[in-house]
Amino acid sequence: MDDFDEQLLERLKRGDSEAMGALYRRYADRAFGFACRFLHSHEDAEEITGEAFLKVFRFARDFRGEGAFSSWLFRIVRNLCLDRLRQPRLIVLPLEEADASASFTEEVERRERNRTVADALDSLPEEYRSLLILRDIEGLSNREVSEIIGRSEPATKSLHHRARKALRDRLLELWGEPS
Amino acid sequence: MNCEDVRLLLPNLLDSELSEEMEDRLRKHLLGCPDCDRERSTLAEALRLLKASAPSAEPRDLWKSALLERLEKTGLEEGWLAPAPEPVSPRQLVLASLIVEMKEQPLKERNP
Repeated sequence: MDDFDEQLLERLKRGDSEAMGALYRRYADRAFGFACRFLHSHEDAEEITGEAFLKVFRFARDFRGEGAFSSWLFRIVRNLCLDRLRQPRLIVLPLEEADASASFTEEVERRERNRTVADALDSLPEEYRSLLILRDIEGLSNREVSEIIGRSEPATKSLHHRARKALRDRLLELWGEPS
Repeated sequence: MNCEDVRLLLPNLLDSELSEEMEDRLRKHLLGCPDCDRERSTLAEALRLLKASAPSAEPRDLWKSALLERLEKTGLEEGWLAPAPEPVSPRQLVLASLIVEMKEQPLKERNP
């Protein structure tokens, strides 16, 4: 585990609220980003992130430190996202933000392209989606992701490559090219 | 190096994990093999699109500070956070400094 995280966690186990605040500030953005990209909803991501932090802080004393604190947190975020996706919900459109510097045509094309990529990503098995979001978008290491998804490092690496190929193939299908 | 070897190493090439020498060998193969090069370029493009399409997912500052406050409150209520120590009064500070001073000063000097 990251030395600094370990020190903070030890202090948190003794009830130190500053240590809790420091851990929170270190990971709040990334945990939120992961949930947001998984669920395509800021509101759901806020709720899930709050729930995940409450769980890790509440049970910090039971954490045995066999893996990274971040992996533990992201594993909880991922499980909560999966639970959320199993619940009946309204159709949520992917998040979009306008690019002020683009022309109207460029903006329409960009949105269309992003929508296709989001559709392709959503059509993949959940494990592939988690891998692509955590590794390629959030930039977590292979080791961290292997702890989150509960697989060995070599298996994670191989799955990650398959996930990228699956995304590529799905995009080629959606754009009408033979894979 | 045959096509099978190259395709096994493509993920490492995309992640810049290869030695310079191995990367050169791979690139030489790709220059002469359109199939492998298409495999590389389509994977690289899919990856580029994935990164470019990721929406900004910055949490709101207000929400972040509100959540931290809520976590602190819950922690205190449930007992997994200890209450912050009471602020030290000026009188306590003076007393503490006197104690430290007495401890540091040898007994002889105080009672010659």
